Amino acid sequence: MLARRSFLLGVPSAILVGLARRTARADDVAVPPAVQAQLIGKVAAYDKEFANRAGARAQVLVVVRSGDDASTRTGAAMMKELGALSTIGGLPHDETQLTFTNAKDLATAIKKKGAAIVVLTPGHGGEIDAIRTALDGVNVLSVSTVAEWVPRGVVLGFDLVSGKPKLLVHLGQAKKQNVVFKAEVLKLMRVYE
Amino acid sequence: MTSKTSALVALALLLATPSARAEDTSDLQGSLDEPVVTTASQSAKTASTAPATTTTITAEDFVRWNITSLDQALDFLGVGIVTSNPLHQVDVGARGVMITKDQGNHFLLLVNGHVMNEPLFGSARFEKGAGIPFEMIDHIEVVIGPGSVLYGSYAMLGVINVVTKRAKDWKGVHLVGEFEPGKSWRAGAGAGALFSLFGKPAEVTFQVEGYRLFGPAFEMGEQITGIELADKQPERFSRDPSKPRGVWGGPRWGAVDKQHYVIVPATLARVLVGDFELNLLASSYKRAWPFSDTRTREMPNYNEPDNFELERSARFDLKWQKLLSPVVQIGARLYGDSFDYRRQGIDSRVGACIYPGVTTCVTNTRGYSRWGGLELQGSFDWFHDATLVSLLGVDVKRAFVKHQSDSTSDEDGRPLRSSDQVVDEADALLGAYMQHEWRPTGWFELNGGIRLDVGKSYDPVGSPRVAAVLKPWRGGALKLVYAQAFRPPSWYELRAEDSTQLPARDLQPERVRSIEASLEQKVRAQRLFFGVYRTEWRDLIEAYVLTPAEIREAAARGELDYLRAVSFRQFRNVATIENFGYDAGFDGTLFSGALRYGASLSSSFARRTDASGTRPLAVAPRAFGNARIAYAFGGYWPTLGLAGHWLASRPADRAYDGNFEPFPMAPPLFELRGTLSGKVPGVRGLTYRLSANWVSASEGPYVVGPGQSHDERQNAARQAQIVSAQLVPIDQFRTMFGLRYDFGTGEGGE
Repeated sequence: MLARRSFLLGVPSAILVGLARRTARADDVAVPPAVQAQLIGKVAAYDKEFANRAGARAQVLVVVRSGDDASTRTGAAMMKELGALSTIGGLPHDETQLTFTNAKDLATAIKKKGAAIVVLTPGHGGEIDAIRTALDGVNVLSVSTVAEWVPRGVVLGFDLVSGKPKLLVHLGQAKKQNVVFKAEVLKLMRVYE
Repeated sequence: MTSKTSALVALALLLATPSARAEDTSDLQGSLDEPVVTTASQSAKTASTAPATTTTITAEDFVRWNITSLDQALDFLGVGIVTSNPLHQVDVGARGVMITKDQGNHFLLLVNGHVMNEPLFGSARFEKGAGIPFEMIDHIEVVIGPGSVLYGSYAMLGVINVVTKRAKDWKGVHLVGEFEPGKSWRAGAGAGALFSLFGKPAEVTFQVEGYRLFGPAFEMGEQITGIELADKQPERFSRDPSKPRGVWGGPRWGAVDKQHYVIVPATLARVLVGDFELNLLASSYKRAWPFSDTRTREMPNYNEPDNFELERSARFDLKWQKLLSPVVQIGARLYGDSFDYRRQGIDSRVGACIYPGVTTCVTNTRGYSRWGGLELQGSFDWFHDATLVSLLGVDVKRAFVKHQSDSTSDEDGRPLRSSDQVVDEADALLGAYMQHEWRPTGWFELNGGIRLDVGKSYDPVGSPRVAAVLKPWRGGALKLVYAQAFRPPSWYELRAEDSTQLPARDLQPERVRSIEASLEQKVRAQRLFFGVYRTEWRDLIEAYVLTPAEIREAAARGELDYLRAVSFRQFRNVATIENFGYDAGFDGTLFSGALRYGASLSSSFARRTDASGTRPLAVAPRAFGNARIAYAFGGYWPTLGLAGHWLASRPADRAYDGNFEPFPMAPPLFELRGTLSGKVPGVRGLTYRLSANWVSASEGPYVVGPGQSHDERQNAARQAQIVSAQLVPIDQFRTMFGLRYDFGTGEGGE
């Protein structure tokens, strides 16, 4: 009797424990690429280091993952929407699409290209920790198209809250990547440390 | 310079100032304040580029201005949309058209994309009876104008999509309690969590809540109803023989304290696992309202505790969506709904309960509708960059409806007649649609689509829409939209008949077509909107009251027994409506979003034409609007919110067929609501809301009581003294206190 009761209590408990493992829902691009691109163009102006980092012309890397349909789709849309902006952070700009191989190579590509902004499309959820580590000390504004990656160490991201776009920022990682947002814009952001 | 001129100049300067200050974040704030909507095209777009006029009302707005139901949200925060409350199902109208007592069947109501309108009456509820736990709502997307192109029937005035919160915004446990002294209470509990299931990312959100309205007790004005023609005795309105006869309401009866209540338990759960999404909703809506009216044709007794109406619903909706390649996305939706209806009327009038040995009749009207279906959808991105995207879908549905009305003796419970108003039907419906979105440049977008609906009771109906969006200058968006929509006759309208209601013949779907043009201009965090429209309605379905000549002809054909009643009706396509007008809106923020404000104004010229001529629409206000302002001090200081809405005077529902003197008009109505909300110091996660609400008008546009019309011949015979109309009373002042406690929310939820 006791064994049966233990079993009856144990099974749901095990399921609940299993369920309780917190995770993020896979790679939702909550905010449309057109809106994300527009926000990137505006937010960059509030990064005190952006002009120094970008120089005369801002280089933007859009990182896609080979074989990932969502990544390819979002990457193409971001390339188009960013390309349609007259300026990013007040500067003329060029976009380059980069296929992700590994975090270390990404950091190398950013430095080599002199990219001021790197945009991560869906499909990189498993690599975010490595990317965060690889970008420590790299002078770049990393932007996530997936909101859930900001708390994990991407500097800037976008979420949809109550049907409106919301800016997310990881201040700790921002500091490590030499991104310094003005206090006024931080008031509009959900801040993660 | 007058103060009004000064204010306008200040506003113009505010809008025009080219703020070059680096610290100025108003332009960015403006982008963050522009809603992203999906309802208009089933793809995420900013409101300014959506192929229809849309308004988004957010959960934060609910708190700032103490919004606790859909109808309040529409009145205080909507643009071009208005409601009118007869103390039971609210009427919802838009752009000058409001079809009174239509059971909400000219608006399509969705919850997370799931259709709430049911096929027996086409009904959808917008008051508390909507049965949507309110704290779970993330935002409401309101699309004004015909919207059948993607959704099929009922979307004649527009589409309202209630979107609930995702787990990221509803993590932890949430408790809520609200109390309106002497009026109502509401309590609820909910939770949300992110987790992993079978290796897939997953989330769950749910809430259960209960609402109870128990007041106020309304004093109804006295109506001298005279004698019954059947027994030449004063008319009865109670089972109790000691109660007054020949009179309804007034001091001899006292206030209605037993026949005015609402009870709504409701629950909603949303589960997402990988590519699947499951929505479950269940609610019950029991209510009694303090008067009889034309819709409750039994004319039930006065302040009778056993008069009630009850609806229960249970719904499920399982969605699946998959990206097959970077350019092809497919989806499927399996859904099922159950809706039960019951109305009980206790009637002691001899004229309505004319059975030997019976003094009181109990009439029970029962019905249900059950329906389920499968929707398949696919989209194709032709050029791999969202320049041209096509959407194709097919929706197959099976529905079963049943309805009947029975009368029993109150004394011994025996049946008094065979069932009438009998409906027993099964239907199969097919909807197929396609939409193409073409965006060749960043400043021009074209959206075209059509939906074809086929049902058992009507010929195939096509509902096209074409919309062009032009962004010719910075912050500006011009829209031109042509759209059509339809509503099929409900099964009740098609099949119900009784001794006073003839069966409908050749009833056709109602149709509407609309053309509209609008301009939206964003200047930093300020947004202006102005739109003009013209709409044409045809084949409007109503319960037509037969003329004496038509009664004689029908009697000659053996279709009715004219000795059974003095009035007979039949659902017919009786009217057309033409209207044109404008909607204007303004909203914005200052001080990094701490100060929020907005206003809207709508005015229209609407005329209804039927066999008796052309006239304005009853109940629908020709002009209405709203305004609001809120300031968040931050920290533990409260947020102050002030919101108001206004309706011009409007003809009562029986204004044109009640023969009343004077002509019954409801006075202009202004409703003002002040709200204080904020965090309770010292208790993390505990927030409060205090609110007071005042309404300027004491009566609304609905004739109440047995005096539904002034018929001189009938009144003379009955010695009744009903000349002027008595209009529905309005609860003019109420206060509310609410607490909400969120715990276990982590960083995002508090």
